[in-house]
Amino acid sequence: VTAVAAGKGFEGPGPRDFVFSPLFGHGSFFTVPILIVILMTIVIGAFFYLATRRATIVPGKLQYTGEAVYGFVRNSIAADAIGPGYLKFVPYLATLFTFLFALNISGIIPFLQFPVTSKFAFPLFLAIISCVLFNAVGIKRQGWGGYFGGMMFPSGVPWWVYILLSPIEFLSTVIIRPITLTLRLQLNMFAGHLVLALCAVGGGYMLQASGALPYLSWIGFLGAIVLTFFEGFIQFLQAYIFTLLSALYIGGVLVDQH
Amino acid sequence: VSAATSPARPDGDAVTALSLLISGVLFWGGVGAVLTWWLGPLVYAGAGVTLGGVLGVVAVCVRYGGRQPAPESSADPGDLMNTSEHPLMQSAPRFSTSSHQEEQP
Repeated sequence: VTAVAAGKGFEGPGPRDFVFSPLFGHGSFFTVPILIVILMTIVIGAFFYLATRRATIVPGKLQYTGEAVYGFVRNSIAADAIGPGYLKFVPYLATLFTFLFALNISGIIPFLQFPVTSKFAFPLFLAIISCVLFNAVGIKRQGWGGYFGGMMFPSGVPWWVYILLSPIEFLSTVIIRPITLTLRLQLNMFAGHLVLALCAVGGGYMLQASGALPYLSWIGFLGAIVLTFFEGFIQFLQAYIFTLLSALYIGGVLVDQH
Repeated sequence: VSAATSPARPDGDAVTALSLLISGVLFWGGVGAVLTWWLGPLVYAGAGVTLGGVLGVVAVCVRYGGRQPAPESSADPGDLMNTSEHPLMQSAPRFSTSSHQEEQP
């Protein structure tokens, strides 16, 4: 809109829109994404506290909602992906899922409208936690030698092939897995936010332009509305996939011991 | 849903295979890049990337190549003759006439 007033051409959203200046002071780390993370952490904590504060056999609405979220992670993710012994991992997976979903969904919440997981550091940190967890579970179950030996030296292969394959197996499990977890989530959120912003900014630009463009601006706004709902679905799906893959990796190291 | 009775347990084979393929190119490509930086000719980096791609495929084949597909259960719901695979018979007690005969003095 300001570009129209200044007589410039259309400037679409880009990576610069993902860079924030500090809210307080110069050089401070306290930016809008940090504020959203703190806000969402408080919201999730308050939600589960209130949902479980007075648990009854016949649940109220809030308790039912909390149990539904926890039950979804337990039954649809942990039980299916991990198998026997899954119960002890459900608290972590439920926390991971709700936290990721809250950070994702902030992209379509009015006045927040920024998916925090589109910043590389946030999903990377969560992926590293998952990576440390499933490697620690594997080491605990199989010992250092058993875990890394089974990972790096698959059976039925000539010894000289190990020289070529073992670094790949190690790199794949310890480094690449968290990176692919991170990139899958981060780039989905990044691209979704860009497309959404493009529709909204494009609609606004056309509305302020001359000629026939104002009459076509509804296309941009309609696209923004439709994409908002679609983004909500994608944000849920990406939180689900991240949690499911974390559970699959945990289940993988539990199965490998047999 | 009980984990022990869950019939369709998803696996992470696809993402693990993808990780192996990426790792092959990254590791041996990285070795090739280091050799190029050290010795000069660009061919080391290219050979490293190619070798890594091939070894990534080999790693996937080594890990998953020898697997047998899981046997499919009877698709015919009317196949009641195969009682041992029928869901209602999973928890039923099993009787064996031969074992009774063997227990006879």
